[in-house]
Amino acid sequence: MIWVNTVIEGVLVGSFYALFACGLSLMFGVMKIINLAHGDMAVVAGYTAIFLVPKFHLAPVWSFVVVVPIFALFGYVLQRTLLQKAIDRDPFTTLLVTFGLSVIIENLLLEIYTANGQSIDIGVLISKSWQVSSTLTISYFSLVVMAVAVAVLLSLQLFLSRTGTGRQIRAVSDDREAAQLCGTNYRHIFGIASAIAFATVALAGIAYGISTEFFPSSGGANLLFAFEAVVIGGIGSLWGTLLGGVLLGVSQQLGAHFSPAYQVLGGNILFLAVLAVRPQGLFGKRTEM
Amino acid sequence: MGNEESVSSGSREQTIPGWGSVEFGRRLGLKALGATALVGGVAALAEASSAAAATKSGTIKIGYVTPSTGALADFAGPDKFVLSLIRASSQYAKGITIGKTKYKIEIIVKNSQSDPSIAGQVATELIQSSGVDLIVTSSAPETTIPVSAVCEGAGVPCLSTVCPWEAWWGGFTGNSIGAAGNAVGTPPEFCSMFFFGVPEFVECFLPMWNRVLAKTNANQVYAGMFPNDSDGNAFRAAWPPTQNAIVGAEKGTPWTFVDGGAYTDLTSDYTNMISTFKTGSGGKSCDFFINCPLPPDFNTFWKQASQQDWNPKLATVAKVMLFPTDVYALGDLSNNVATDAWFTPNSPYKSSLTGMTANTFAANYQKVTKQQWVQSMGSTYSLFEIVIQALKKVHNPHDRKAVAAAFKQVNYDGMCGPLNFSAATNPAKGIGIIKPVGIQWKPGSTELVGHKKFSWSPWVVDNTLNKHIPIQAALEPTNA
Amino acid sequence: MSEQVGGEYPRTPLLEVAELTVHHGQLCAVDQVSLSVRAGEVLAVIGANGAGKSTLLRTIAGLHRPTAGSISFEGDNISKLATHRRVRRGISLVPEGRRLFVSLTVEENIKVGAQSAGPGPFNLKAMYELFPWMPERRHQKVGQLSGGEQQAVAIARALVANPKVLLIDEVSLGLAPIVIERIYEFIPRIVDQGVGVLLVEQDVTQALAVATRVHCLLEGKTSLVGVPTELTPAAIEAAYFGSDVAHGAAEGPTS
Repeated sequence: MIWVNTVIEGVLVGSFYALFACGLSLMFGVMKIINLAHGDMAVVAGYTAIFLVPKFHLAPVWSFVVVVPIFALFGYVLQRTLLQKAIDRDPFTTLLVTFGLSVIIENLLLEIYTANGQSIDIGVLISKSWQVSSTLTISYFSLVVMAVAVAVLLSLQLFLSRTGTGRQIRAVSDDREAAQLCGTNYRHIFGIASAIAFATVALAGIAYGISTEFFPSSGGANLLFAFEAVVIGGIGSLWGTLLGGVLLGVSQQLGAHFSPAYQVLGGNILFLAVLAVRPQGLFGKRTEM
Repeated sequence: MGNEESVSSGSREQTIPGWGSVEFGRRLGLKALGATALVGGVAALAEASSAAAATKSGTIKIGYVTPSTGALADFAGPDKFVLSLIRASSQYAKGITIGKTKYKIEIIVKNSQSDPSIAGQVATELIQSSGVDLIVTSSAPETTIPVSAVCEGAGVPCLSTVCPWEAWWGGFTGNSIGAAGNAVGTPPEFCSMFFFGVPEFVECFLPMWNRVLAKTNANQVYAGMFPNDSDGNAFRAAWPPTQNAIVGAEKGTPWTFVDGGAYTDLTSDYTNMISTFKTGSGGKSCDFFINCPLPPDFNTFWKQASQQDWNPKLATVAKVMLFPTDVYALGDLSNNVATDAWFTPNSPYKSSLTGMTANTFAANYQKVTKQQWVQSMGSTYSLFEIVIQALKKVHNPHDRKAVAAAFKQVNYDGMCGPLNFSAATNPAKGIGIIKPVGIQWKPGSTELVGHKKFSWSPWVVDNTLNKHIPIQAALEPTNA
Repeated sequence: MSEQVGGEYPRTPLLEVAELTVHHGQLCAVDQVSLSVRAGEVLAVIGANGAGKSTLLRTIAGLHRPTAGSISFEGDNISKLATHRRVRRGISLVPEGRRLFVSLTVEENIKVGAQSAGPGPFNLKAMYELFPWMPERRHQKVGQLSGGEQQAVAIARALVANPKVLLIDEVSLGLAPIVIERIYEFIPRIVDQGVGVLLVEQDVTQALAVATRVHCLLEGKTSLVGVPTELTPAAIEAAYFGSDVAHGAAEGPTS
């Protein structure tokens, strides 16, 4: 029974990692951008939820209604301007630009909102839980996060496989130049992919902001887990990212079951094992053709 | 336990709960040593130039190194307000007369950005470029240790605060903490400090545990949430023995310690640890809780503890919940979480500069800044009081050795209460001890607020360690 | 297209390239080349490896920026138009090496091409008629196809955009002669629909067989222009390898 609990807890934490990672995975898959500011974007989403949403007279639980569209728009604009300019140069510039963004965001948040810790207060909802058995209690909040993660990844997968825009995203991801030759405006497609990625990171940021206290500098820690989830699952594969997140969560919980000191280590061991045995990740594609 | 392998020197070294270990301090010290070497070269030059300046001007320059930004910025929150009061006080505004010369006083503030190496750098700048006569610094080992190390190397008087003395002491090369928690080594020549240390943490929290124990049928089992970082390992090593020694001396019933395990900072899930605490020891779940986590980790942990239905009778936390920001971020779950306070507007203490009471001080802070008072305002204020106390004792404020020695002789009453740098009970020469009280965060505001109501306030609930400070509210179990 | 009678098309060129010069860094890949493509004709650009044929085509498609000269389409200067907009205007390129979307199926590849299609006879259904093997394999990933089949998909993907001018780059590269022949069979059928074709080819025989006119490049410069039936093999060889009479080079290779 104790193992069942461990796995269930792992799946719950892991789906948060997956939610956090899917935007990273998408941006890497489509634009080949390693967005080092991904974690900071989530933090910005948290601050937006705290400081902007009250102006709309919305309960904090509903902050995503405002934050997600704003972030989608922000993602599109950022991609079409700054990030596109960087991509037009070379990958190294792109990496530097996202790193720069990360630094700028952190400092701007510090300037505007000070170093004070913040948390999105959803009141008593945060404490509600479901007593499954004498040894297993599942918080409703983690359940909701898991449901959101699965729903997001499922609908994203459907969008990519069933719609024309989704097809164009995949085409651009495969061969940007060939897609242009098919009449696809790859910059616009990049913008859309970025908008989706930012919308998901907004959701992750809000979930993160509810679950803990965050600071302008909180972005980095989450970025690491998101990277691990993406790499374990296979770069560019959304199902891989979901699986990667869940496996990361479960292996952390298994590690923690032996000793809390091994919690993060457990995840890192899985990460290294995957890198050693299957560097392209579990769902990753080998270079074809 | 835990850190034997990382300790290289022969004597058993102790690490300091809540604030960074000696080992950590030593590392900072070594890092700062690089800066020291640099300073050494120019020290003579700086000395010569400042001596020349002395005859010409009649200005005393004070450097203040503080973490205005970064992880420790909460501590520096009241800096601006405090400095405005200090600069307005007659000694600082009109200058002081030493011997037959009237000296203006200038304060130069430098931001350490919460980064030890930048702290060392700005201290060096203050000495080399600004030519300061002395440096004061505050907030955590990350700031005070590198600044002190640079000053010691350059031979510039330095006063630190808000750092457990053990960590600060260990930051000087050759110094360590003995098995009995005593200071081993030679006191630094140019540096002094005031704050408190490990035993005060225990002596502050334990009486609260005993009172809750007497009121409830709680289990005498306590949970320790200590991360795998220098603070956490220090707490794990120092807390149980210190507590056992105190309980043993009082012939009380021993407490059982349950270690949550050395988790990694910024872990996102604590359900395993929480179930360890629920299981407790000998069939009894943990009813008391001590920790020293990073603020976001306590936030995550405490929310998950409530989800998992682990409700300790009393949570006494260290390193977090010192400032209102953590409390507001946690919301209702902050109710009756206890911690320590080294300054409170509730105290009967007064400014040695202007006679302003602690209460007026805090009330004005709230009026001017619209922010809730924070305890670091008291310690920062005292830094500048003590500077005046020391300067009054010297004949030449540019005589660095004399000023440094004067700091170690200060014995006065000020914003943080009575403080004697030369008391026999001090851990070492030049270390002044103030006594914290136990507080609990409870809804509502104390009367001093006046204009604005704050939804949470720290209420003094236990004054075992410092009877001067009256109790404001009853100690209540964190969870009934 | 308004006044076309009996397979006759307007004589004004669809695509006109004037004095086009393209550099790759310092290297001048295309040097003052002028050519035009009319509806319903095949212009074959031939030349040795590195003669600048592909660069010429890619520049017309919008993938390279010319250093000088102009590209006009239906009378408008399109030199500054983005690639995807040129596709929408009616210029499609079948790129060298096919460049299919490897993670997409056959049908998806063609659908991407159709997504910004103008009006015209070519659609998915027309492609399935043109290439009868396609329907039953439409859900396969393109990586599972043979080289010739992949080339067919590449052509279909470009055709479904209903281009007025189809640019084809080295269609025969890496394919068996029998497969090349089959691919070339389709070209007249495309031209029959009124599409102008600009073909780049190393295989001179194939090119001459389908071309209405031939344009030979040598080191980026035009070395010969003419109608296949009027050109002697010797003249073509000279233009191709550079043993031009005008240059009087004696060391020119002979095949």
